[in-house]
Amino acid sequence: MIIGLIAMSGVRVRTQELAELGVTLPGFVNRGEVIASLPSLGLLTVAALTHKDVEVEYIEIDQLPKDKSELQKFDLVGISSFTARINAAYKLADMYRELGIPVVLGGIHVSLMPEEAQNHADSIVLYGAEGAWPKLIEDFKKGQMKPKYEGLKSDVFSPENYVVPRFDFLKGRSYNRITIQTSRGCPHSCEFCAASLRITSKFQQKPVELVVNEIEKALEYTEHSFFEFADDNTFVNKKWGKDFLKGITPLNINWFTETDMSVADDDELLDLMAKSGCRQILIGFESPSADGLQGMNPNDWKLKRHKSYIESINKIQSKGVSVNGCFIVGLDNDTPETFNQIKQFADEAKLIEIQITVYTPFPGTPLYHRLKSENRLLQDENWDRCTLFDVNFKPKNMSLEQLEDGIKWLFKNLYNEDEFLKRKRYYMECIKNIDLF
Amino acid sequence: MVHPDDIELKLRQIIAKVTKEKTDNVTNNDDLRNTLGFDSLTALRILAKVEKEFGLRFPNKELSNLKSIQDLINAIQVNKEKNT
Repeated sequence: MIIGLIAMSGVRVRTQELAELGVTLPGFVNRGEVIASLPSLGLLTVAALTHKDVEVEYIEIDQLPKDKSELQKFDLVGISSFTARINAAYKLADMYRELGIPVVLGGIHVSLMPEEAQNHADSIVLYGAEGAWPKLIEDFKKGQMKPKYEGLKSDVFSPENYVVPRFDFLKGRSYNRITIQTSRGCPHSCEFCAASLRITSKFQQKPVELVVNEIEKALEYTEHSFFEFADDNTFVNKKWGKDFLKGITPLNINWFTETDMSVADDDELLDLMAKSGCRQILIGFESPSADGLQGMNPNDWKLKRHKSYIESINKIQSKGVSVNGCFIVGLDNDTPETFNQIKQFADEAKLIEIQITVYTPFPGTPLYHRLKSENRLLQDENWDRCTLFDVNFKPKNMSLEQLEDGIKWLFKNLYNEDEFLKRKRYYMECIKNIDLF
Repeated sequence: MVHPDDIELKLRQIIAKVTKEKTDNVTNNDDLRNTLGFDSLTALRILAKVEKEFGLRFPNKELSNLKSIQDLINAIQVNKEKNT
């Protein structure tokens, strides 16, 4: 028996002018039409959950063979996709089913839109694959695969459920970053966020020794030692964070992750981050103005932090850790002035990297439900536009045209050679002032 | 004028310290990022430390062209002369 696991990597921006300007997600890769191609950690985990008597192949969609006989060699196909590429995933699933090969669909979009996904699959897996995939395979072997399996929403890192992802599939592949998950979920519950908390019942953190072991395993199969921690917010728990950083320091890796600005409150944590190879952290500032942050999360956590934004950025970057400041455009309190405010903030804060994304109503989020109830979705269920760069809603305090023009203006004014060089130079000046050795 | 061999020795020490990698197998003309497999920010860390150690400042527009040890030796010699 052989199973093909197909990863739908990359996001293609739909708005041609933005693609030509070179949009990017966390930017260590060159700007281009495919954004931040990373291995599918979910499918590497599914592969590890598959019993050893079943052969597994892991395939990136771009490497899928064109030859029909090659496509037909699988007994079962598993496809994982996020929202922006779900239609391409459905098309692929339909093609396999026409060839007579059963298809299982999984991933965050499938968990949030199960009925839609079932139209394109013989079976779907909801939530984490842990607790669902081994049972699905056993049933499939007996010819009794069910149309739906529900994986675990909690305890995914407990010894009875946890597996080390199959990093051996990375061997010989040219990823510029390797992903490792240290946690699932984030306590901030921002209205727009489609993070993994939507498919887990609570914030879950992996024990430090398991993370260290995974990094060591991954290093056995890759020449490059740049890691991305595939978390929603790595340093929610500062005590765990410090233990984790002490654990990874001897591994001599460089790494990137997403977290929040509370890391700036803790000097010991910042020093450990720098020492353990942290090259950049992405922080969602979301808006340069306090007005933009009103009501963003239930306890206004980000609004309360607004006054200390620049001080926090300066402190983090002074340690040699660059900050990738993330801003969302199109928030309800945004006006045509907001674009210029973001540029001014980025200049004043001397952010070394800046990410601009569009307010995006992902399925299952409170934002989606609110915009739908306010009749503000341009095309309901047009998932292809959930790229984080293409607008699919009516803005509140500006016209659609003003929003789209403002986005293009920001891209032109933030992502040009002079700005890149200015940011590179500032990073170098930060590095000169610290003792790396 | 500093001898190129002395510059190379110092550069290799800096690269090894920043990247925590040995440079014995890196030739002077190898693309450092491809050979040692580091990211763009690590490349800038190397340039920052080179500027500090040699007491010079590369023009911003040259930064992207400094890919090999030989590129750095040439740029150090040119910019040292400019700065003196």
